[in-house]
Amino acid sequence: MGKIKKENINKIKYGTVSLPLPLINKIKGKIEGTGMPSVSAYVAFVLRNILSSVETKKINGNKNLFSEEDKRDLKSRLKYLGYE
Amino acid sequence: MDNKKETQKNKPNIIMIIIDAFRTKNSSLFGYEKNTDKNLKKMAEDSYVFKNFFSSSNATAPSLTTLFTGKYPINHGIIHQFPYTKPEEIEEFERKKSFWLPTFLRDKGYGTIAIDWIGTWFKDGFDYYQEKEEQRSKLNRIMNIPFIKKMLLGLPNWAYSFGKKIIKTRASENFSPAKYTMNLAINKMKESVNEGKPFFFFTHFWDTHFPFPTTNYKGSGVNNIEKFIDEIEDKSHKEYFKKRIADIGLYNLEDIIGKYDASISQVDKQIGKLVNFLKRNKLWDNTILMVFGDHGTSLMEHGVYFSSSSLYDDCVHVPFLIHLPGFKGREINGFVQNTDITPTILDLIGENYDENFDGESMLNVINGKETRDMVFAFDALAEDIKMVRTKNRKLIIAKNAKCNLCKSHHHENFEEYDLEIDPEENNNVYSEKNELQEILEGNLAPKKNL
Repeated sequence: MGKIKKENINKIKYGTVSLPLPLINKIKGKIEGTGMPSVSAYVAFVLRNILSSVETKKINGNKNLFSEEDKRDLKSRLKYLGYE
Repeated sequence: MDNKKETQKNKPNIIMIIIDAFRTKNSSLFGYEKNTDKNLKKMAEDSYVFKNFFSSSNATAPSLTTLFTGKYPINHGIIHQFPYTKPEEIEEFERKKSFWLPTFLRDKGYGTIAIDWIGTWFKDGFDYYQEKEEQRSKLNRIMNIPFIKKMLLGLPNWAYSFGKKIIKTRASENFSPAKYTMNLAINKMKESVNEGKPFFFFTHFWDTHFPFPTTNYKGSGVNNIEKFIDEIEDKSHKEYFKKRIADIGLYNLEDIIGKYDASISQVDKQIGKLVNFLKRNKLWDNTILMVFGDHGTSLMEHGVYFSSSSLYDDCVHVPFLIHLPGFKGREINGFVQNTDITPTILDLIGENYDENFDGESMLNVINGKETRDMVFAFDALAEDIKMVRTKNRKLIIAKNAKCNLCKSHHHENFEEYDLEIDPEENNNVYSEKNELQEILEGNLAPKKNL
């Protein structure tokens, strides 16, 4: 049997964005001694957090993930299975 | 057809079948003497069977969250099973969540369908999420016949509410038997095929969870359970045991195991039906099908009665097999975990995502690369227990071992097992701090490639 082809796996491509120099310097000062390896890493970290929060809101919308009906049904089923 | 549609058309379908509380010990595919899962054995003829697949949790909610995030419970935030999940765990999960497999696949053009009832955040990303097509019981249907409904609506409010409450309670305990779960899944699959886009199916069978609510099983009628009850010293543990016995209505261990085995066979039969459906409809060669347990279970072993409340292998070592179109498959001995499933799917469909998954694509293991030499698990039913396991050693650290189910303790502070000479984990050989302890206490667990 042949090997399964593995292309472009775990290879993350990077692009460039421009930031005002004063902002870059401010970030440099902020990350000093925090263990954050670079300004790029910090910016990626912050953006990821913001996007994650936006994405979560987009996914959930106005839907209440834990409606009273959901809770009641879940509780009843779990109790039957032994979780109470 | 434009390029986007053409690309979508070429994507393989993905089906995940979860068999709840399915441990390797009772799978004939994994050497059990009873033929519990003959259809899985047949499917294994052209699938990869992972002999060393471990869940990173011993309960459903954290395990499924790991499945869809590719992260260990301590990293995605949901450590404890419902209803023991703390509000701060849910807050952490919502705050941290940046990748969710069903949402990702839907965004890539997949039709996403789940047959399950656990709901909450597990509904996210699914176009369709239901356990049953029609959630109404016979009684409910009768109540909705126009003239009866009119008569009932004339009742005082308290009487009407009381009646509705009774029906609601009954319906909620009415788990869908494997046959109906699969019928619904296949019907939805037919609809997806007609829509002409690839589908992602998630189907969860609860039939195999104690007290095996959908399985008809008479048993021998022999009662020898009293001797087990007498041996339990802890009062709350004894009460829990009695309650669970009353729930299942069987009074000897052989019958309880028999009902578990029958439940596995019941689900296995439906998997056979699914494979036949896929082959008959020419979907088999363009569908990734994976079948696995979300966690294991303990029936009586280690004094853990009828639950998955411990980190012994019975509760975390589960069957995993995957059919990959175009490959014959074989047995794989490399270590894998449920953290690896999301990276595997992304790998198989040729997609990347900038995320620090704890898992790695299983294709690496299939291709002969050992991606990990140890696995980790986190107890979802006690306050604070974790474990690390290599091929021949296991270390469990319990900082707070009180079980939320029976209120007793199933683990000592430190337990270590030499699995080569003691695979049943009966002889604790822990004596002093060692390198496994340093790894587990040093919070190195979430890092991959340890």
